Amino acid sequence: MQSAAVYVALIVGALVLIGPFLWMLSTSFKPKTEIFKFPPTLWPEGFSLKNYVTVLTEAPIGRYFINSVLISAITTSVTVFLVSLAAYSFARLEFKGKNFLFVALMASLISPGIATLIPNFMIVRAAGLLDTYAGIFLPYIGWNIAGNLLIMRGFFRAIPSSIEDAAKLDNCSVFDIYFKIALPLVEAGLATLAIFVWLSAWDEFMWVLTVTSGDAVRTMSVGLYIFQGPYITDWNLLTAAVTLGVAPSIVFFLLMQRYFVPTAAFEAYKG
Amino acid sequence: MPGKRTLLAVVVVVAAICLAVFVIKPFSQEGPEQEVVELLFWHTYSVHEANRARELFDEFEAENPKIRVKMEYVPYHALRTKLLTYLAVGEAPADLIRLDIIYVPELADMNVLLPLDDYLDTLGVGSEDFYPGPWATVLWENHVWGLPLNTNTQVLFYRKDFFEAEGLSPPTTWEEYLDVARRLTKDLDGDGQIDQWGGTVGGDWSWHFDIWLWQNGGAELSSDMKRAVMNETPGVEALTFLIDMTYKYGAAPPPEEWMMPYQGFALGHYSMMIEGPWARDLLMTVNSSVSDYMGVTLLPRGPVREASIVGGEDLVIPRFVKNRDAALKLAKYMMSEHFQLEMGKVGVLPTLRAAGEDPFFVEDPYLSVFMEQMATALPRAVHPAYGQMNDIIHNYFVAALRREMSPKEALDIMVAEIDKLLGVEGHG
Amino acid sequence: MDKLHALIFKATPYLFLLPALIFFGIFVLFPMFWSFRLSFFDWRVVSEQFIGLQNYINVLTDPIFYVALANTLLYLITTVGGQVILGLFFAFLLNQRIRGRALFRVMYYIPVITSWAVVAILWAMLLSPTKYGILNYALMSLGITGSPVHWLTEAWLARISIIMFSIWKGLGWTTMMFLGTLQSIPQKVYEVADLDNATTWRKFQSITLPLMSPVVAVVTAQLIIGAFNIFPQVYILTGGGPLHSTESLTTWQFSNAFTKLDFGYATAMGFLLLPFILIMTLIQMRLVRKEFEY
Repeated sequence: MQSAAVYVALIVGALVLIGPFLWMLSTSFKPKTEIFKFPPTLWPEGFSLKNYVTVLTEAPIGRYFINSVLISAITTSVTVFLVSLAAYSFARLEFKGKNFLFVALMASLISPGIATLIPNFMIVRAAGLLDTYAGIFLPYIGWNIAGNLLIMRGFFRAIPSSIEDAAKLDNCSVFDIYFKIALPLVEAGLATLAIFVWLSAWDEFMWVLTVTSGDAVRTMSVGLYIFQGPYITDWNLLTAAVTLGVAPSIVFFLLMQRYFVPTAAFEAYKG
Repeated sequence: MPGKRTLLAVVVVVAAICLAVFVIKPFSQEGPEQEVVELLFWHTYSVHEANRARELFDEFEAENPKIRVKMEYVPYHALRTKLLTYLAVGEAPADLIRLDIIYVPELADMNVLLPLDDYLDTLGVGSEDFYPGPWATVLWENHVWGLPLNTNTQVLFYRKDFFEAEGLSPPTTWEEYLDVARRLTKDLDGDGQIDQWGGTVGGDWSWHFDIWLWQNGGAELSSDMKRAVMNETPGVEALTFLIDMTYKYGAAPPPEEWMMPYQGFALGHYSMMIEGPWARDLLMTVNSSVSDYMGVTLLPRGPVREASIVGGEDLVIPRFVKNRDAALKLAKYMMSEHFQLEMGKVGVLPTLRAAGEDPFFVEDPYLSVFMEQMATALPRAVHPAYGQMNDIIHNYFVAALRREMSPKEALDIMVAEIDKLLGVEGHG
Repeated sequence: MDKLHALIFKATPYLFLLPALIFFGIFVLFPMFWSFRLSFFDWRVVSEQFIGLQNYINVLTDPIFYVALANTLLYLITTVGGQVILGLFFAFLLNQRIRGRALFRVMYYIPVITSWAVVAILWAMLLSPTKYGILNYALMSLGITGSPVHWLTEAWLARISIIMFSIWKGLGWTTMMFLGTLQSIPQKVYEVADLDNATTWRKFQSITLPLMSPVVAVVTAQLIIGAFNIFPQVYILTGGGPLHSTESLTTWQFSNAFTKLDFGYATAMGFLLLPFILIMTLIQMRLVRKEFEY
């Protein structure tokens, strides 16, 4: 493989992927009058941090940020825990109704869509959870079960059963086998799951808007809309807010990155 | 294995947090004390506007110590979805809502709004206090379902530098409009392509067409609103005028070459455009020396009358509001000259005539034009099904603009489909 | 094992599943049943009327439904295929001996972690169909095209825009997933093959491919699920236009529910897809049985 060609391809790819963000980042430092100047400028002529200051002072972005982090973290950790537990059972253990469950899960992923907003709202309202963190993250956990359950099941099934058979012979309890043996082998899967869930929780907009009635528990996703009016979008402010909002997800990704490489599984596989 | 301990730790921490959030209510959620009523107001104001409104509400609270006003921001395009979700489960949305004028008849028809006919005395206002266009948007089946809160309209923007260079003055009739547009359409660099257009249709939605329709004496619906009448002669003539201007006289760009009107105007591609008060801010983002090139005047007069279009928001109160009297008090405050004028100063134009005639507007060279145009501004059809009508009009307007069908054909189909929607006999 | 042990042992699979299923039941199954019931009614937010199968008939006789269905399938095939193929390509490149791999990883991943709604608005702006749209500006400056491309205003170009955007957004994720697996294949395995004088193609065929197939299967499954739920890409870029030509099942459903207030129609549309699911389920079960057989 010619090294140069590899680098060129990668750089072109990278430019295409982050191109729009370069524009976004550059706009976040521009004054309002330079946003749509033509020809467009990459390095702002009127470079200033004013947009960031405005964003942080005019809207309660700080609070939205904390709320987003809190809700995403809770959703992710609880979901990963519950789903990995359930997926193990689904993948390994035998029980009645397995296929029926599978079909139900698949069906839920594709069919209903939009109208479920209303019944979910009914439930949360009846439980008295409007305008609370729980009212936001509990449904998130529920919604993240089906798809991730199927994916994790795939990861568990990829583990050769010989390892577990050996453990069973040693009289380990099911939970021990799950916790001490299976789980570490699917670290890559758990990391994938975690990022997936984190992102979907972070992004969710309509639900937060529906269930909250003020700034106390609102998240960044709603907060960003403050800069979009019916006629005008304050691009300079919006891009600054978005740049601030992207940071935690990058951090989370970097944290999860090292789990992406499923080394353990393949050591076992070789044996 | 490092993973296991972390997992355990995470589980413990998560359990603790869950417990915490279930038990502790998040920051600052204290409810009001016993005797004080808290009103919830759903609004779509921008940060700037909301801050000013908050100050005004503080003044209101000072004068009404038993009432507190809580403002909830709802992003513009999501308001309706949230509202419908609350209504669907029977939960009272808010005490007062700032709602786009288009949705008022629909909600009125669903019987979820509080009719205000009997409260006009308490509110201290009547139809004569408002501009006629905005007032019409709160009426449905002879009842009053809300109050016009703020409005906007569209006027003629023209490149005064181009006009001066040619020794032209802004058009006041359709003929002059067409004439000026033709004169100002040029191929500046001789490459065979037109760089500067005289005018622009502006877009392919109902409000780009309605202005011309009304100016020619036409209407979207019959006066009893039972059927569509756009395909009668005034409508055909109006649509033909726009199509001819584009294709026959080449004075406006065809749809394939459209760009955002404000962008085209600021960059010198459009010599005229029809836009609302927000245009100045938009122009500044492209070409900030606005005073050099932006001229603003009333729309030209049509063959039958002057007309422009009404936009804006109305204030509505849900039918099963919890604190009706307090809500009415707040509504009255929001209709006061003080509130209307002060909000007008931050860019939310008043619907109250008294506020609109204040020196602040009269002496402002930009805003005065809009307020003057308000006198002849009309609303789109105030009908519950307007959302769908809007789509139908859009679809066939696009077809006519792309010359996929003649103006008459497009209007005929528009009318046929709207009649079907309205349940007219013989249309399924 | 005594009786208690036996009982716990038998109950364990269910106990493992229980918490997840409770959440699923409350927040997903119950709403599904509610929606299902609704599909037999003419529901107008504050009133309802039973109309049997009329909603289903309305959906099946609606030409736009078929346009939306065709579009959704188109988006599915192209975006899933695109993300998998390009993901494999870039993962392969990143797996080579190069410097700055960590930096590349972050750069490739950025579109993935930014929220859909914001990026969609960004793209809608960049794709402006005039010579001032940033994409057109770039293309024209580089001499790739002479006149501005009407990205979002012509039916097929609009569809392509949506597809491009979706692939762009998800590419980083598939790349990372594939890269992870590629990196885990120990060099030794290839070295052993080298000892047997295996050609590059042979190595690829009998080592790389089989070891990659589980992750490719998983990623593809996830992408397919995501493709069915496509929404902001279409709604924000084109609103389903021009003239409903880019409409997807989800956007058409949303229009009917929240614009026309015809929830009965919207929910019926959702449930018409059930036969699809059954087919896909059978395929999945077949595939999965094959995949993990080695």
